[in-house]
Amino acid sequence: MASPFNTLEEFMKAEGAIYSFADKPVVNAVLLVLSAFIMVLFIVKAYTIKH
Amino acid sequence: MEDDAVKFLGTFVSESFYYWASVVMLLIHVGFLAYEGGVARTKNVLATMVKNLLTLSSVGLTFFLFGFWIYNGFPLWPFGPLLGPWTNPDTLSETAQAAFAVTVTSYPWAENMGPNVGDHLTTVFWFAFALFAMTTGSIMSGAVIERIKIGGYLILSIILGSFCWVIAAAWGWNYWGWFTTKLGYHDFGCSAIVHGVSGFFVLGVLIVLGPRIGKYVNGKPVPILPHNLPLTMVGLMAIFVGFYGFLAACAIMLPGAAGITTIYGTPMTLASIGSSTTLALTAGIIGAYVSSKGDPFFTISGGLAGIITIGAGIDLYSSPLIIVLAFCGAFLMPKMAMFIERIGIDDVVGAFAVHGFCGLIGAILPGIFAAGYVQQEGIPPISFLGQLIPALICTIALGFIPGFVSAFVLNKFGLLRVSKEEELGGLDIVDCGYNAYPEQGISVVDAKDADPIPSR
Repeated sequence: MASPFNTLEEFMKAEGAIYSFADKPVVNAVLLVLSAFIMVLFIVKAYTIKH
Repeated sequence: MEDDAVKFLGTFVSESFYYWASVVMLLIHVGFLAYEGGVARTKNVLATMVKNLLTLSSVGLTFFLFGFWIYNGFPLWPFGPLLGPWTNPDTLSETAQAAFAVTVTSYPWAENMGPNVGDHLTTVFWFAFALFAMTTGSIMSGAVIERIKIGGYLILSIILGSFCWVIAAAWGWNYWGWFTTKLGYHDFGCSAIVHGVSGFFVLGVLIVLGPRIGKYVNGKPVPILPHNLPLTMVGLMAIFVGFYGFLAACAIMLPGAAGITTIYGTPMTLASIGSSTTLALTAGIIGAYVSSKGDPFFTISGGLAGIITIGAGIDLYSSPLIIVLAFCGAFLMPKMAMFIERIGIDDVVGAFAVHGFCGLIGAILPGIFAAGYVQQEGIPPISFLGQLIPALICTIALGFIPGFVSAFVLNKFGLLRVSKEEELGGLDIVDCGYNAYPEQGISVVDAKDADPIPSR
């Protein structure tokens, strides 16, 4: 499950991060690496796209 | 006295928040106006922009007359009563009574729907919802330009902007809506509720309306280039600004509440809406830029595609997840737009690809990337099927079918498309009486008849 909370009460009374996979830092670390790859791809494409 | 002042401050903060968020939302219409005007050819610029402008009136007035009541009266139906002036509150359950208490404030004759010092919120909520409704109607506007009759467009805009999407909102974007209470549906930024409904409604209309004359030669699409792409790009930038207001107005900030919540009553932060919208915008632009190989029109539309792709779960997604999903949605958008064009559907602004396609996948994604969140006591958590079923109801039952059927009926009565002569001559003359750029025509006509330049 993507939710870091098991119950409604946990979610409603949360005091820290409420985003998905907050309890699985590896998932967000992988997504962060992908985000960095997107940025690199963007710069590379800016040089290679020609019409 | 001090308590009264504190109470007033709470009300004023709430009232002001929705007031200014709605004013910012009006920039979406400024953007649509410029965006469509730029996309049109010079012979259709004024007619295109006036048609878009009239959406404010067609949807705004009908949303006052019946749209706001539909939003408040339909959430429980068909699994509960349809709430309206005929309802006897004594026969209602506790939940239905709570919903009915809001419904009675939304009739056009209700004393809450005007200056009322006892209620600072109903009319400001109407203001925000009316802007949502106008946005939904406007999404169709650009796709059908250069060949639709203004009257036909206005009727379609009312069906879409004051009826179809409002039912979707009552069911899926309302505290008591059965999409949420029965299925656990979550759509914070209205991916399916606004964008999916309107994008698929447009698809239905376009199938009946047909392409512009000259768009297809021997069955192959021919580019009809915008007359002013810079104006279109500035328009889309204004739409981006308006979307910050749109998404902020999706938050619920009530006087006396301990915090800001979503429409479903779950916790959220306004700050993360700002950061996530910005990240989706930036990643969406990159996705479409890469996918379309730098096409300016698709690249800037990618910002919107990115925001719509993450709209449903924007309050729950982490920042890196926002970037990846927005990139993917916007990357796919130009492919979908080109596919739609190849199969003979002339969607001038790519409304189906941006709003329909990205809205549909955006509404499904929380079923994977926000699965398991419980939103209210006793209702199912967010799940894949709980997202998929309402998303399909929005796009097919409340979008495509009403769009196709209403356009089909209008077409049967000759109320949908302008004549071939009018289309070839340009709609500016037909609808407005003159062109947007009169110097271009006058210089040719007057050159023959003008007095000779006096010699000096």
